[in-house]
Amino acid sequence: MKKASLFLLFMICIAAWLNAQDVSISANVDRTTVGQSDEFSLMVTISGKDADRIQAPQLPKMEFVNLGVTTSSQSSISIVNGVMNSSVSKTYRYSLSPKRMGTTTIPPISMTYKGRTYQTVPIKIQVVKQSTAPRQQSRQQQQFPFSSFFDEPDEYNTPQQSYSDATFIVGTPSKTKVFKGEPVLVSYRLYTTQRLNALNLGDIKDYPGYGKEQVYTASKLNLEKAKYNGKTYESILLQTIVLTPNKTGIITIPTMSATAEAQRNGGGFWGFGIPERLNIQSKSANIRVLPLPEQGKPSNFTGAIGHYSINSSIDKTQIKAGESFVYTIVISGAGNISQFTIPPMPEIQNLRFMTPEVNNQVKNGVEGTKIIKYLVLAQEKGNYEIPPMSFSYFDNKTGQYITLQSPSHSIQVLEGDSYPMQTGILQTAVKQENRDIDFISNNRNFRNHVPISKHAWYWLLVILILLSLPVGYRWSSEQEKLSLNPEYSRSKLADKILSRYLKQATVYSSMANPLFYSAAQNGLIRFISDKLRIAKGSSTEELLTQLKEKVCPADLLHTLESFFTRCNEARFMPGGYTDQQIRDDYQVLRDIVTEISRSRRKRQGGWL
Amino acid sequence: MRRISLLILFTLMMAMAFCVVKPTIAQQANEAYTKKQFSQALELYGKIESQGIQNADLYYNMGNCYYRLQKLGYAILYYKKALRLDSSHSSARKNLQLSLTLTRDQQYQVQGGFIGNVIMRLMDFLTLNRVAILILLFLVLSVGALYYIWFSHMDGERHLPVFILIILLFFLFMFIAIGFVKYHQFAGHKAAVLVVPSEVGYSGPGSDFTRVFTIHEGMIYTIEKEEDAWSQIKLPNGLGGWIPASSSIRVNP
Repeated sequence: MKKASLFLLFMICIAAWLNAQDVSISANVDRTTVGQSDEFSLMVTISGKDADRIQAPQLPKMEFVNLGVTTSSQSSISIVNGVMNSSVSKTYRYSLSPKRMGTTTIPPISMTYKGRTYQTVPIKIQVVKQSTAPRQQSRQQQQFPFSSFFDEPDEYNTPQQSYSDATFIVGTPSKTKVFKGEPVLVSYRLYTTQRLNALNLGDIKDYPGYGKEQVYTASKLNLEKAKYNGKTYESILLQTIVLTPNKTGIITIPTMSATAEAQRNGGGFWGFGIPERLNIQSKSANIRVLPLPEQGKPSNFTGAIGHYSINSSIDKTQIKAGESFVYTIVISGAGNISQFTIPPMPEIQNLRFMTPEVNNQVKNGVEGTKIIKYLVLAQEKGNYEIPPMSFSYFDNKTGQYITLQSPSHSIQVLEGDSYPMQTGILQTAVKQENRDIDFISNNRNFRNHVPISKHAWYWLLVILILLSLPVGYRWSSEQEKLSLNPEYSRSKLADKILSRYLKQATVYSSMANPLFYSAAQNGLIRFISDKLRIAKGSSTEELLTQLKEKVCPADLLHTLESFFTRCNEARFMPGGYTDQQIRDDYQVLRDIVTEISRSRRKRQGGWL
Repeated sequence: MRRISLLILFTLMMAMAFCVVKPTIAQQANEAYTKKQFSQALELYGKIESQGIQNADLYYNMGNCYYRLQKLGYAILYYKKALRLDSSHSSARKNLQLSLTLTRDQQYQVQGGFIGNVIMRLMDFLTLNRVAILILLFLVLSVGALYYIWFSHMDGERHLPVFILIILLFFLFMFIAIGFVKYHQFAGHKAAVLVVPSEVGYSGPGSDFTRVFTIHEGMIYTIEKEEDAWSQIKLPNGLGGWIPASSSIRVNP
């Protein structure tokens, strides 16, 4: 079992390895001997499963100029013995041109795939002076349908190539002085005094500084009489192009080349003249390009040059909300109709302008109309005004900017049929349509504003609150003393009782008056009766009995008894006491009062 | 306490009763504004103002009239006047902000972050009167807390009340500080608005001094000094110069 699984693993590895091998790279050229000024192709082909995903190989340094690359890919699927193989091959076709004469080598081209490097074999190329390009080139040239049966003139004698005054092409710009962006028509005309059998239009050689568009190409070799420099020629308008200069200064119009076969008079087989092969090239001509003046350039100028008129229309004037109408703007005239961008559409709340459909209809390069069609969706009911669209262009005749306005339109949008919204997709945030100030306050009586801080009551309150602080502090500190110092609180309490029950006694004691004793006795009896909750007016004896019943502490009872005795004695023996004794007795009275007032009630664990 | 609150109420009512003016002019003015007769409305509001009434809504309405009459400088001045009395007047603030976007000169506007915005809105909400009431409230609460600490016979366990007292005192002092700032803003005479279409600022009190800047209607600045019909002003961006005193009006005359 283990062996089998190991084997399986091995097989998978092999397969993976084989798969990894499934990439190959090869290089070949279309010819190995090339002319000094020829182009040739180098094809690098990568094939394999993942060929499509492999990056383009880097060309090594070599003695050739790389003129560009094109790629192509091919895929094939084959099923062999029920196993499907798919392979993709990708070909990079490089156009190369030699830098120097002699034998050179294209070095190996390498690529890396999954960590492995693949290489091609080097290719030797011999560069010779003469062109080795195949005849294809002439086939690539544009062929006129009216080319005669002398299609392959090489099958005859190689015709002599010559330039002739008798046949030439002239490219004439319609203007020699234009503004940047202003289109200019260039017509290429062929003039000849010879009989032409065939005419092949060659390449048009371009120069920098303009955009080019072909407007007209001759389809038949219909020659007509025309004059050039005072001489009469057979002539044909070969091609008309529109140039749009994109830089200022002097620009050169493209030169056109063509090959023609002219019948030579006399000689040759079969009475025909041996055809003469002519290489014709148009003379170059210059156009002066002026910049557009900055002065007076409107802000909405979008590059239109020429002469235009604008009009606009809407297809309906009354619709329901949710429906749409078409707003059409037509700009017509002569100029760079297809070159300028359309003027921006003003934003109108609740009218949604879709991306416009722009249609340029241009005749002979410069004249035409630009039709801009907006599909407008009315989103909310109301009357809307589509403001005039302003369009600015530069008039190349007067050299001034002109701003045109399209008519304005009003559209009435009625209440639409309510249609159920699907989900939140169509929801939009509410947008502010305009900005304005808030409405006035509808206050009916404007009261004079006096800040609270200017009212007296405010400061009165503040002062009262602040003044309460020292008072409160005094009060609270007194309270604290009472609660924290029992001695103090006791004497405070005694003072209170003394001032209540024994006021008279206190007064007498301070005067050392013996009347103190009777006052003290009366007061004490009243105090104790209140404390014991017995009827007032009880005698001393009754009081003492009551106290004994309540299990009053013995020493207190004793002090009390002796105090009462002294009081009785003093009553019957006035003048028998010195001042000092009275003061001492007052102290005794204080102690008694303090002691009794400290005593707690029975339910609080005391004896009272 | 109940008696005190009754007393406050009574005092307030008395104060209000004395301040009430004839409502008819105000009503007429509001109606005129609604009918878009702005100059008439302005005249009527002006009548109330000339009675010596200072009222945020009145100033706000007058600012709106000036705005509609396209006198931007006066509109901004009156919105500022309204906000001076009531910084929480949201309509006045909104209209002032809109007006400030229409002035020729770009005026400095604080663009704080989230915290800055919250603080600014809080400061706007805290009008002078609200701050005064809050100071009173926190004074009462702080004193109350102090009394509680003094009279409650807690043995040692005083941390919480003391903590609360500290917080209350913090708020009290904070509001006192805000109150000072607000009062300074309220009582300050420096802020002024340019009411003429444009004015040139010179480096000294006279047009023969060097030109320093040009400002346009609706510019808000502070007047630092005044000397023979010339005011030395300071722009929000820090530029200083002298302009004729007659071109500007102080928010708090």
